[in-house]
Amino acid sequence: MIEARNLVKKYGSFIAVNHLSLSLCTGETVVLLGPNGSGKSTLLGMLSLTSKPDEGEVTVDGLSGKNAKKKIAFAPQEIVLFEELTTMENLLSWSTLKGKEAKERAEYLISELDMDSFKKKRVDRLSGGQRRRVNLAVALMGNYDYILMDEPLAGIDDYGGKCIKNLLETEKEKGRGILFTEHNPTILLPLMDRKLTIDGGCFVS
Amino acid sequence: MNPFSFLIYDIKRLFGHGKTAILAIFSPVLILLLFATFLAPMLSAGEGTKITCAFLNEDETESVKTLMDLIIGAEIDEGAGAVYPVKDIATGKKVVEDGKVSAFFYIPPNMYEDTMNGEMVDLDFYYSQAHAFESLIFYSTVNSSMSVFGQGIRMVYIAGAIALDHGVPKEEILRLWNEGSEQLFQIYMNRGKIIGSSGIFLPGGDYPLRFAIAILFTICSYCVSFPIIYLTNSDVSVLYRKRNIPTEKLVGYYFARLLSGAVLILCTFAIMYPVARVIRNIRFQFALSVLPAVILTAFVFSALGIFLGSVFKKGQSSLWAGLYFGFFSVMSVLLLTKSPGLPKIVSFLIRISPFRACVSIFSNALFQNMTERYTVDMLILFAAFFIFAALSFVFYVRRGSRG
Repeated sequence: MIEARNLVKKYGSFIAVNHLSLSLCTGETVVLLGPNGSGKSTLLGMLSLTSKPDEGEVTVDGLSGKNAKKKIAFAPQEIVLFEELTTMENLLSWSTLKGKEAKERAEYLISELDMDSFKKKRVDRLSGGQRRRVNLAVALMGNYDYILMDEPLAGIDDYGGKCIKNLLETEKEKGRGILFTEHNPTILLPLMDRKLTIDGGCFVS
Repeated sequence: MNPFSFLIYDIKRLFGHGKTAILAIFSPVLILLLFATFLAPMLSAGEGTKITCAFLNEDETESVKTLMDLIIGAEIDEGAGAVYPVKDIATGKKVVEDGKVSAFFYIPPNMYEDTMNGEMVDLDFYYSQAHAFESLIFYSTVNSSMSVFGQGIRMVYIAGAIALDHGVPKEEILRLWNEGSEQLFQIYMNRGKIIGSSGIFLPGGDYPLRFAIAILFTICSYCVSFPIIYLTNSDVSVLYRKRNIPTEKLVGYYFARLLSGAVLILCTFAIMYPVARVIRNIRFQFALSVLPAVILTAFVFSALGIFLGSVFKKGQSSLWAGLYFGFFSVMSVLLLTKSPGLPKIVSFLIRISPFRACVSIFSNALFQNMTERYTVDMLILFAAFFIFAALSFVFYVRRGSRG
């Protein structure tokens, strides 16, 4: 279980996240809603352990630090890829899996997210939606228990959204905890177990 | 992913910016060609560098005196050098140690006679580290001149002995001897004709050309580290921070970058080297000594590039720091060459800088191999590599894994 207690994040005098606590269990899917600037991405950054809270703590199955990080797959809102490499090379470069296992996982994700037509293309030559899919696939190239995604559907068409939904469904069936932020999560609604709404750095529902 | 894939992907990334890679690799060629077309003739025709040296000749033979007059006298007449005779070896060594002259050259008694008899003659040459560059040219001038002279004298002597065996009168042999020696001097000292230059060949005038090529080699190879700085900063400050990268993975990325950076710099060398050969004919046996120097330099600049790329948060800061580091390094090398009276600590810091060691090792290995100097420079480069590699590793992994 990912457990966050009393998280606070400040940028100067601005409080982006104000004493928030939440938990995410394995096999559970939680969506984090809220308007722009409400603190969703900041909270997700702390939950994914890519940014440190000013106050409070995050543990993953009772672990913190490096060991906790290994259990989380995180797909950031920004496209974070090696632009000079192809889709397949990106999947293998970022992967924490090795050898045959990494190749099989990459082929699986390419097939699930329908990336076959551009698996040998450099990612800087892909469309926004295609890059978004690669961005998500890269995050899933490892052995993890939890998947955190920051607006995974941004810029993705309905077909791409369905591919992502199917993939996440399978991941959920494997018992992985899923948490994502989204403005319009219609496509992913069938997966949702819980919905949290955040505004001004606090939960409003 | 296996270590080889790490390397291949990183090389692909470094070379991935097509135009950047082409610019990084080929712009030095353009610089060298421009240099050869416009600056090299000016440097060769210019006054050259002032070489000050102490000199002690204990061989009273007329031929040796004539030869030394031809070598040193021409340098003095052209304003390329100043020679101070000293009364003994101790004084010669002292003026070098005191920094009053760049080098001290000693010719022992009976050099001429021993050469004639085919015996090995040791000539002593002393120089201070602060004057290593200009001393090198003095050394190479005298060394090559004396070597050709010694071989020539020996041949004339053997020819004289054969003539004597065939009953040629002694007077005739002496006449031929004098003419032969004179011809030997003239041909040797006017060998510039081979490359189309008239007049006495002035190695002192050639020194700035060698120095300039060595410093151009160093600057060009250093400039190739800019794509390494840029890409490293973008990786550790932007990409890695936004994803959860395990430390083991970062270590793999680091070593891949170190190797791929060195490969990029080596590619530039591979292109620059033949160009330099065209500009200035390099003897093949010295080319072998260039290889270890080139490889080590590539690793030093690659590690330095990673260090500069990972020590600053922002890419612009890294690039500016790289530019200033390069600029001050070039300035310090020029300062060391031109200003022997620097404070000891400043002089020491410049002497142990990898940039100076690179210039020194190229000016040495490309043109004249002085083993002692070569070894010292290699050691400095080794030390620089380990320091930069250690620092860059720490900063790279820390910055890349910082959440």
